[in-house]
This record gives sequence, C-alpha cells and structure tokens, in this order.
Amino acid sequence: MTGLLELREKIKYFYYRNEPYVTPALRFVVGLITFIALNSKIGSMAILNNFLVVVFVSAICAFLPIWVLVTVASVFSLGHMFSLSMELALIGLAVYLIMYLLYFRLGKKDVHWCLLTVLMFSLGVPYLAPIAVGLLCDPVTIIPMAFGVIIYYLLQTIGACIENGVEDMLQATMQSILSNQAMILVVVTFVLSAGLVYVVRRLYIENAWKMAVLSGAAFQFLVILIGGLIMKTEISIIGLLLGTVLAVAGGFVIEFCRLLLDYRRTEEVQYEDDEYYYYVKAVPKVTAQVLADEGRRAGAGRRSPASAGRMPAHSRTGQRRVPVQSRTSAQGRRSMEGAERAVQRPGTMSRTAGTGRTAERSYRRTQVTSGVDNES
Amino acid sequence: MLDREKVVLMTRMAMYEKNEGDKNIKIYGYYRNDFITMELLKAFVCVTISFVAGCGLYFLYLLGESGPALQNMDFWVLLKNVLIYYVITLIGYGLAIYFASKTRYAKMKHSLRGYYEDMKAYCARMTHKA
Repeated sequence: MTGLLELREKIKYFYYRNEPYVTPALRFVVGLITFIALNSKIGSMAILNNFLVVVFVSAICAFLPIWVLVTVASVFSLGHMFSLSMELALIGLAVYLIMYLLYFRLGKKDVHWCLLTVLMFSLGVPYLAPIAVGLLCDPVTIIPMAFGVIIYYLLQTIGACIENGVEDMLQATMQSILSNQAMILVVVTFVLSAGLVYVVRRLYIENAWKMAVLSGAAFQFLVILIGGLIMKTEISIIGLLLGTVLAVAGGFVIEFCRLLLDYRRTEEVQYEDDEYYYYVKAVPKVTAQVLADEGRRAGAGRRSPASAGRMPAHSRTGQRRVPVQSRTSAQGRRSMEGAERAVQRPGTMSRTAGTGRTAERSYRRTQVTSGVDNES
Repeated sequence: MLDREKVVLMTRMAMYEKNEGDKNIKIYGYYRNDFITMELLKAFVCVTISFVAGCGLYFLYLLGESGPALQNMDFWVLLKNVLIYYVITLIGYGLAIYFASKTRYAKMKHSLRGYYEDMKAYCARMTHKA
C-alpha cells in the first residue's frame, strides 16, 4: 500500500513539475487513440485514413483545448460518412447538430466525456463510464455521456454495415438511432447508474466512494441483464460480468487516485459559537507520509519496552494526534476561533460544562495541528 | 521598489480575468432579465433547428419503414402531433435554460464582487500613493 501511495505521490509530483509538457502529451495520445479507433471502425476516406494526417491532426489538437479534439473527431467521422454516402453524412450531421445546439453550446467544460465514453466502449470497458462520471463530475456531465453512447452505437452500426456489405446502410443506421432497443437500454441504464453513483458518493456514510462504485456496478449489471431478457436483446452474460468487474476495478483505481480516506482515524469534535452548535467529523486522507509515520510508530512499539517510554509529545499529553491532512488551514482556523470563543466566555462554559470541555479539547487539538505544542 | 500588496492584487485580478472573468464581465453588461431573455431566445432558435433536424431523421426513418403507410396517414393529425412534441420540448428546454441562466447570473455577480473589491483596493492604493 505504501509503495502504491508513494507511486501516486511521485506521479502527482511529476505532473506538477512538468505540467506544460504532460498535458499536451496526454491530449496527443488521446487524440491519436481516438482517430485510430475511428479510422479502424468506419475509415473510408483515403485522406483521413492516412497515418501521417492522423498524427498531424493529433499534434495540433494537443495544443488546443480538449473540446477542439471532440469537434475535430466529429468532423473526421462526418468525412468518413460523407465518403460512404451523402445521406449518411446528413444523418450524422443531424445527430451532431442536436448534440451541439442543445448541450455543447451551454458550456465546454465536460464535453470531453462524450469522447471518453466512446473511447471506453472501444477499449472494452463501457461500464466504467457511468461510474467515472458519477465519481468525478457533476450530474450535468451525464448528458455528454449519454450522447457518447448514442454516437458509439451510430458508428458501430456503420462499421458493421461496411463489414457485412449491407446495401441499405441508410435504413440500418436510422434503425440504430431511433429503434435500437439495446442502445436505449444502455443509455437509460448509464444515465440512472451515473446518477446513483453521484448520489451515493455524496451521502454522509463511511466508505461512500466504495459504496457508490459497488452500487453503480450492481445496478448496471442487474438492469442490463433483466432489461436485456425482457427486451430480448443479445447480451453476453460473461461479457457483462467481466465488464462489471473491470468497471469496479476501474472505480477503485479512480478512488485511490482521487480520494482515499482512513476511517479508522476519524475525528469527531463538537463546539459552538454565537449562532451555531457544530458537530464536526473529520476523516483524514491516506498519504504515504501518514502510512510511514504509522509504520514507524508500530515499529517503535515492537522494538523494546525501553523505547516504548519515549512517546511522541501528543501521546504524552494524553491527546489524540490530529493529522495535518485532516483539515484545511481555513477549517483549522475556524475551529480554533470557535473554540477560543467558547473557552473565553465563562458563562457559556458554566452553562454547558460538557461543551466547554469539548471546546477546550478541540482548542488544544488545533494547537497541536497548527504546530503550537502546549508542552514545549 | 516593488509594492508587494499591489503585485498580489494585480496577480489575483489578472488570474480572474484570464479564467472566468472575461465571460462574467460580458454577462455583467446586461441586466438580469435582459440576460435571461437573450438566453431564452437563443434556446428557442437552437430547439427549433434541433427539432427540424430530429423530425427530418424521423421522417426519413418512416419513409424507409412504411412508405405506403405514410401516404395514407392523416396529414393534420401528424402535424398536430409534431407541434405538440415541439411545444413540450420547447417548454422543457426553456425551463432548464431559464433556471440555468438565473443561477449563472447569480454566480457571476457573486464572483465579480470579489474582483471589484480587489479593484477598489488597488485604486485606493494608487490614489493614496499619488
């Protein structure tokens, strides 16, 4: 665990130091994967199929905002559709027009989730999309994700028609957009699942992120399985199971990278000010430093009875140690102010003796947190 | 000699202008009701174009699926249905845009308040120096 946390910190540090180079490089890789996947699926225009063109366009997109990549990918797919038939390009244009006019014009912040959803489908981890959206984004991002699913099915149908040499490609494409039950099932499931993950993640419960990942994955599995049986759509149960397991694994990786909390060291404090009574629960983040400290303390406890006498200052004073990561400086400041007020007003203390004691304790704790040790 | 506080203020203002300030300052040029009306007008145009595109897709689909059946269809009933769906879409999207613009205007005003406070502090500093 410590090794993984160290790796995470190293990656973060590396990204922080080299951000001007890493971000364009990542965008370049995403662009390259997008255009290659697009060409392999519906690549029919010779110019756009050229690898040099793909590299050149990806390189340009690397230095522009991510929504430009989404737009260029749309233009690429329209170009391929146009080379197949004019009507097909019109269908594609109508779908993109609806997408751009109704949602993308409002804000370009989360537009890339449309592209990422298509990419996740192409890479074989489609069920990760709603979990990732629910964990990392606002509920509005569900809209580009749903558009991503529709675009994937559109491209998938065109690709299948090219592969099987279907004559009436137009009709098949129309059917895939307007009456494809599998697509409707997946869109509805993904929208509900992302909403569920978002709601559970924000609940005031322990291990909310893990619960969110598991509940989202279980919901997807059940709805797609039961819906598929009712709608009689072709579903591979093994594929669904494998996809769900991969989605859960991906969700846990996201949680590890984004927010890992240590519920064993939860701190609960209570204090009051003139207007409110505060019940505060602070859950510290797990970092490599904290784990190393814990390991050192455990090692010191095991080494010899003599060394057990040399305890850290906060243990000698009988206080529990509040890790620095558990609070932001602003929280610490607010807590200290509230505690100070509670301690300084004797009337309050006598009126609610328990509260006063708690406030004093919390004041002492915040002193430890901010590096002012009473003992020293 | 460099005035540290002035540099801090200027950096904060420049960062705000670079990120979200430009858009917010543009929105601040409108009264709230004017801004919301403008957004609703834009939404009307967008919904109309999207609806026409969607209807085009649907008729193309109907034409392929049941060409002869389409010829026997009552034109007025079809038109009535299309209009009903159009109005429902327009109202739904319009409401969403109305609340979104209202929230956006309120957020903009809140974030600009800090910016103008910085600006005031900067101006006061300059006047004091002069």
